[in-house]
Amino acid sequence: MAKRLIAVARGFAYPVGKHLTLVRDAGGLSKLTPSQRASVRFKTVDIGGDCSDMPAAAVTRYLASGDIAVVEEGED
Amino acid sequence: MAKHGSADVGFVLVGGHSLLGSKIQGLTESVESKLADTAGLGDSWPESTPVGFSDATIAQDGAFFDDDTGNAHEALKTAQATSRVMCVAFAGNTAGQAFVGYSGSYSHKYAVLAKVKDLTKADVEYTVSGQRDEGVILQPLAVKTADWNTESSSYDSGASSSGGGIGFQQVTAFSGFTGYVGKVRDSADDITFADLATFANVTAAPSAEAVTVSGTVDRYLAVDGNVTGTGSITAFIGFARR
Repeated sequence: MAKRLIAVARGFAYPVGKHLTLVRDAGGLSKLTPSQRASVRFKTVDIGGDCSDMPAAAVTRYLASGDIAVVEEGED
Repeated sequence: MAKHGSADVGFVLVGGHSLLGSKIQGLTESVESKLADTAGLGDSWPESTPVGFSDATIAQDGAFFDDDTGNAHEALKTAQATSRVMCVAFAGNTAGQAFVGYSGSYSHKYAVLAKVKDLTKADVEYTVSGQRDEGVILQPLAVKTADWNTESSSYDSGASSSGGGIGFQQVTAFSGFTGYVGKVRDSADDITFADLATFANVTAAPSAEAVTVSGTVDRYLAVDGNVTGTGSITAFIGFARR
């Protein structure tokens, strides 16, 4: 059964895809040039939304804090 | 620390009213730590010990008496028993600069000063009920006409903190939109941001709110503004760690 990550306590914003790659490779948004920063797009997830594509490092952190939860497909 | 002059005062916001337009001539902000006299028999010199209690007062003087809608007189003439959110920036209206926030200020004394051959002016004294917080400007007071966020220019606090904090929002103008929700977000890695403090939906100006949060506040801070419909707002958001 497939598992998904759901935002349960807080909403989130994070880059995905090529935007995440750009930010991660630079070591954070503040390390980008102004023009690079302006080009980064964020995915926004409200409470109850699917955040399965959240960056892995953040998943570990927010699972531990209870801000996101793993649900089985069809469970929510 | 850099020196600042009167031109650097970025804003004086009280309950969603911007008071700089009234040409305030002076602003005094004082914080006092209460001390107990602990000298006793056998002591030959005074001795004082902090009791762990502080209070703050603010006084502004020489502002023009301006009774246009949204200006100082409207904000201060009545309801002096009303608690107001107050934010003052002494070092400019710029993201990353410091501001001082008061979650409960009472304009306990409001004096209109009329004088022959002069414009009428008004002085105000505020008593602060509750905590005074020194924070950082995340969204300078500015006009916004669409959704926005500042994640791509986040504020780096240098480290996380564990004592919670307080977010301040002031909306001085609002037209056209049917709603506006502002948020403070934090991030540990400057990549993934999470909602930290969410302000109530605003549907009219003036509006001001302070939202306290507990626990860990991550190193990087940003704001997110979501508007509904089309229109224009003028908003400020700042955050103070505790």
